[in-house]
Amino acid sequence: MPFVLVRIDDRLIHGQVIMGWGHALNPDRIILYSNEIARNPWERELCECSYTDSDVKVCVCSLEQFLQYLQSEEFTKEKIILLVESPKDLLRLLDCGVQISTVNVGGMHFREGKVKLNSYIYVDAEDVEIFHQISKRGVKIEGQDVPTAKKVDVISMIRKMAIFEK
Amino acid sequence: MIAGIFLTHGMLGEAIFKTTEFIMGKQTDLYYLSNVDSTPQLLYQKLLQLVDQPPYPEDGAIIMVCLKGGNTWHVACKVAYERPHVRVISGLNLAMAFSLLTKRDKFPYYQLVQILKQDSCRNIDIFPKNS
Repeated sequence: MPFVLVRIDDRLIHGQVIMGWGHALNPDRIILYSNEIARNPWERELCECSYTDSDVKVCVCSLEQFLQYLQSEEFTKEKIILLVESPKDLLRLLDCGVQISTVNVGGMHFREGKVKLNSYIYVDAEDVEIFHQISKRGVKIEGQDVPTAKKVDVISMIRKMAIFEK
Repeated sequence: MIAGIFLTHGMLGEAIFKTTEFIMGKQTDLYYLSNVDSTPQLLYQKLLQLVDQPPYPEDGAIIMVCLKGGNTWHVACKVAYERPHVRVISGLNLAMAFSLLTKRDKFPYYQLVQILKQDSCRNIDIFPKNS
């Protein structure tokens, strides 16, 4: 699988992704998996025009479009950064048979009812439950906001803090 | 008066705000917001609150962001999409800030934003010329 990075980030594409990860990993394409943005023409265009200093292609995909792209010849040739908004979106891709070995958690920001794991990861009970499901499928879950930061094991952090335990 | 809003990553907007006031003296209708310790949703709410206050729905507001494609750019564009009196420009630098402050009483906001683009680009140069 040519994913150089699969990242959960509720901001999807932004400065850290473009300047940090984009320049460190040199991808051919950045895919934003978001059914909501894929349905909204102006927001889609806004996201697809985000990469300004090189020829990296940025595209927004609905689930259907993303699964179609996985079958294409381009997919086998390209280095891809895949961005999803939430653990729930990642689980949906895994349910559809997408093969992912490691997921980077780069931004799950504070909202009402969420608990802080570190400065850029806040989780609620549903997130924790889904992270456990993702982990059970053999996917490694690493927290790392920018390439120069230290990786942290998200499941270990959840266990250590004993949050939302049943 | 047209509102000028520096919306940036980190403390850049605050630094440009303070530098412009250091050089040109205290300003009105000039604001800065940072994405530090703020979610895009929160920034969006703060921006709406700002641009909706009188006289800006009539006079206009220009949001100046540091980086096209960054989350500040996305949030600002969302506001401009929903508010016809708002324009967004990326590539905030001191020349752009000074252009806003010296010309915003002479042009309508939709024209001013084009002038800001010209003036800030004009300030980017190389010396020696043929290097």
